[in-house]
Amino acid sequence: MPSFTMLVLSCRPDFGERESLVDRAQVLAVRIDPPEAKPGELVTATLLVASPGGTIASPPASWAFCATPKLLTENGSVSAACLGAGVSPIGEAPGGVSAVLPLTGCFDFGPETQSADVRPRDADVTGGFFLPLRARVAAVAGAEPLTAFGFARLGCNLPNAPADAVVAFRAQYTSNVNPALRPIEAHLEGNAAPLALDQVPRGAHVVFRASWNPEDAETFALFDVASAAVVTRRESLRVSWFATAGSFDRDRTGRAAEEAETFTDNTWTAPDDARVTQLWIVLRDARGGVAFTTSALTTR
Amino acid sequence: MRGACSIAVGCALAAVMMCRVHTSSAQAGSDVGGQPARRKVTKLPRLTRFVEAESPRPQAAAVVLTLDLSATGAVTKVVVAESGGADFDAAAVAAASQFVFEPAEVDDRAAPSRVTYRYAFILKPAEPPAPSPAPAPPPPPSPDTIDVRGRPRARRETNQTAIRAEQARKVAGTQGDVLKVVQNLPGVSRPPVASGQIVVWGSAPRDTRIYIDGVDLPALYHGSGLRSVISSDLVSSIDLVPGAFGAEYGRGLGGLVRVETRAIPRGTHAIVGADTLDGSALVSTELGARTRIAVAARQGWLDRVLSVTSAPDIGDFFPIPRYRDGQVKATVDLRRGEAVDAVLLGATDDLTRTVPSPDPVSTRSEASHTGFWRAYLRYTNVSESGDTAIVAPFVGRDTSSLQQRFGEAPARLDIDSARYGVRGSLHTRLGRIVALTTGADVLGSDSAVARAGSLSLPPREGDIAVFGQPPGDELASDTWRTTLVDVGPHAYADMKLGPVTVTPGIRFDAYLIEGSRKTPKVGLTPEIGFSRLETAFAPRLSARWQVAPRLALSAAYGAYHQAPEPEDLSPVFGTPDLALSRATHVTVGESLRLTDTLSAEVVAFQKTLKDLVVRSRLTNPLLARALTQNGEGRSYGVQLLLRQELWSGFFGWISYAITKSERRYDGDDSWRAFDFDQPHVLSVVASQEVGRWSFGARFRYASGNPRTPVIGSTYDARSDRYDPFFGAQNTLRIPAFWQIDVRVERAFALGESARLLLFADVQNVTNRENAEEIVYSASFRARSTIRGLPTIAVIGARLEL
Repeated sequence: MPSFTMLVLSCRPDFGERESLVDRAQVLAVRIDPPEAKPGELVTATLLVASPGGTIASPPASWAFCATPKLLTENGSVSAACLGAGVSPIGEAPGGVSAVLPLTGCFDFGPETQSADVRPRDADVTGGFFLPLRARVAAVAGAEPLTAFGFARLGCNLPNAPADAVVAFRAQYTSNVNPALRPIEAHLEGNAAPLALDQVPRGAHVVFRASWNPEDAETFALFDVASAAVVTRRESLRVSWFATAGSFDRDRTGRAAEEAETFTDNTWTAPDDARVTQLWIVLRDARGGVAFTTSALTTR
Repeated sequence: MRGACSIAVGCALAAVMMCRVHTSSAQAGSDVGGQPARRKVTKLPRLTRFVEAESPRPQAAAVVLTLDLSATGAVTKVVVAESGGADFDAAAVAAASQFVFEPAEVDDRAAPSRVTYRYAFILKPAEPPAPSPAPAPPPPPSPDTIDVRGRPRARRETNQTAIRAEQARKVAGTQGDVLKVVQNLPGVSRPPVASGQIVVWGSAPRDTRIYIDGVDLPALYHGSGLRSVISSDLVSSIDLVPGAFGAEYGRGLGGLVRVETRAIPRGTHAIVGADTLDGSALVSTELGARTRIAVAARQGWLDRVLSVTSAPDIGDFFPIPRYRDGQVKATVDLRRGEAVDAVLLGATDDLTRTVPSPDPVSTRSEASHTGFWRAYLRYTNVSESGDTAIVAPFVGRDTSSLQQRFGEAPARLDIDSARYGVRGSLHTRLGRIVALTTGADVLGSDSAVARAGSLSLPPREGDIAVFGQPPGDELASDTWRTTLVDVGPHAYADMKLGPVTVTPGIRFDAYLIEGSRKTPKVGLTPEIGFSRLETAFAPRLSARWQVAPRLALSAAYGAYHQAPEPEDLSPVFGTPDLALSRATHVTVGESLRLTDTLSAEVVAFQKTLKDLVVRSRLTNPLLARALTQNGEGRSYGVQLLLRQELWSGFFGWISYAITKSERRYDGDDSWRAFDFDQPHVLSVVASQEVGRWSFGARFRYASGNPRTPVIGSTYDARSDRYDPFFGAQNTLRIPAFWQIDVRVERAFALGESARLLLFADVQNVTNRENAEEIVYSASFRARSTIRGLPTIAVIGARLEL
């Protein structure tokens, strides 16, 4: 039976924008330390801000806790109100800030409610509730400040869980800690010999390996809302790669929860000219922990 | 030519007589399928003088004719409905023009009628001249279908557009699928690509109801919108009523699509078709003198076709499910004017997509299954007095399962609904002026729903998001059961007062709404269910004034109600206390018949919607109140239709609608555009037969759907992604769409009873890069569009035996 299709592939536009290429000032990470805390506890937020010229150390920043939970109609991570007046200001602090988490955090962003008539908020897939911390960063003088949100994981009660699940959860749960990146490793594609970062051939394909300690992929207790029981999960880890020149095969790589490996590789094509390229690697765990490192790559 | 000669006989392919009183059917003869009667056909036309055509050449051929008969039985007009070739057409027309009939009668009075007649030229071996007497002429054959037109009367729906299946099949861009013609009817917006949604007069897709033989269907099309869920060869006609429909239908705030199944022809027939999209087959036969049965099936294979073409990843942007459907229809003639149809039909769609990524957060996967089946009986009784009773009980099941994973955030929605009901009506003529129809329809559904994931997935109308934006990563979970039973007694009367026909109607709906949980499951608290009764009166009124023989004015009004969807009654994801949503429709129109086959219609409409279900806007929503009924809506506009019925092998129409559809949250100062608002929709459809060739073309223009502009972005350092922040809701539009499609079809006669059709249906012949969606770069600093489907040629064949 005659039958054929003539198709010219419909397509999504290519914006020519690589998330891994740092071609402007941008916030690459906000690390909260400790990444998980209870309301009333002190946390410290640290910015990682990059530009084509390298890391911007201690950029001027204005900090505020988001005070308005997002609406059910909003898909984003924070309420649009937190871009405006719906915040609790902390103050100006270059590069980072230390602040006490608001006591109302678990009511505004967690499962606890002031009244039984109010719908408790839903946890994320790791069982976590997060308090947004807004940073307005004046990375470039005279330019519009960058807006970024870091998220402090809240240690809240489980008011809607059965009592036995609450007991089990408290007994098993360990608060999240930030992971740590081990020293970056590199070798030329097809050559397993280690490559010095200040001896990168121009145009070479360099395989970078980001690795972490096995304990960084933490196991943690989770109250599963579907089964109304406490279960155990393991963190996934993902790595974001950034450079001021050259190009990565992948912008992001990582390991899913079920993968036991403690490293992830990415291939970077070095620029064709001799220059110094800044490299940033940001490691995130599934519960909001962050680690990052910066390196300089010299192509010759 | 010696050695062979052909004789011409008129014969009906099927000894089936289907009597129809214009837009609504009356039943008589051996087949009584169809919609409730409005008038009584007391006598069918009968051929009393047959004239044998002079065959132009020794070849088998068949010509299908449409004969207009006067009230005296004379043939007043002959139109070729299906060509057998120009010379055979001319011979058939010449002979049929001399036919004489006993006229049809409506209400015991002679009435004009229309007959579809198949004139077959049969090839017969030559015989040596012999002195034997000439063979007796073949007996006068039965017509194929008969359309009896009584005195002018108001259509039941003043805003109805009806298309006959044989025309719909030839519309370019439908790939021969008669139900896809709905997308080109006036008042219908262009759906998002590969969605198959029906948006009429600014109503939400789920607010429009679909019925086949009076039984509700969950969808008209398979999930991709590529095909309808019913075999085109089992469809007789399609009616679209975009609003202000009569009292016999309810439960929907939007429009109405009614599909009528075809009467099964006598004899044994088979149809086999295959094209780029799918393959299908239909077989029908007689089982004894009183029973006929037809079986049809279809299997989609476009996904496999694409996998071996140069476009294997097109499914990343336009999901192409693997679909299949099947139907069985049996008709049992009980007595004269009494029959039972038994129908079983079902369809499924399956789709599995995975976009792997070395980044665990970027991995996407989707697995969906949707399916339904319906089994119904339809008993029809047309009494000697013309009273028509129809009872149609049905059972069925709808299932849908959607499992998605955006990185590590799962989303799941499973719905399993048992559906049951019955529709019954009695049409009675009360004197010469009033015809009364009373009836009731009952629809029940028992649903088991399981859902997990973010509240924002699946999205709702009014949600502000951009294409490709991941849903929130919050995770909720719930399982619940609902029972919704609606009993809808109704009555309406056709009152003909001279040139004015008024149809007042009333419908009363009593909804029993039950659910398994009124509050979320907390700890070990026992389930506390709910049960309540919602009632609604729905008055309907339509009027038609035949100002002049060719000019009519019409108006209609109706109140409509819609029960909440089972998936909205969750105490976690929705609100168990949802009540009915309400709408009011008002239309006024004018119909002008320019010639016997050319007409123009203008309809202005307004819909007001209240108590629409929307998401709660509270920063701290109340428990079991994630949804509220604070939505309001309005849509209004004018539609025009210039339509040429079949004339000299040509038919077509031009439809244009200018509409505005808006929504707002109760108390808001301003209205916003409805997510599916398309202010301008234009369709031009044309089809011409030339001998055995058929050519068709379609032009479509539609405004783009509104979108909310992104005016900036913020960096989410936890997810390592940018989140958009938005400007005023729905103040940006996808660029307008236009497209030209063409269709070419060639028929080949294979002997006296077989025919082969080859067709090419080419969509987007200009390869225009229509924008289908607005997309942004990862940082939201750049904006562009996803372009739609390029030129696609669907080529196929169809063998009719």
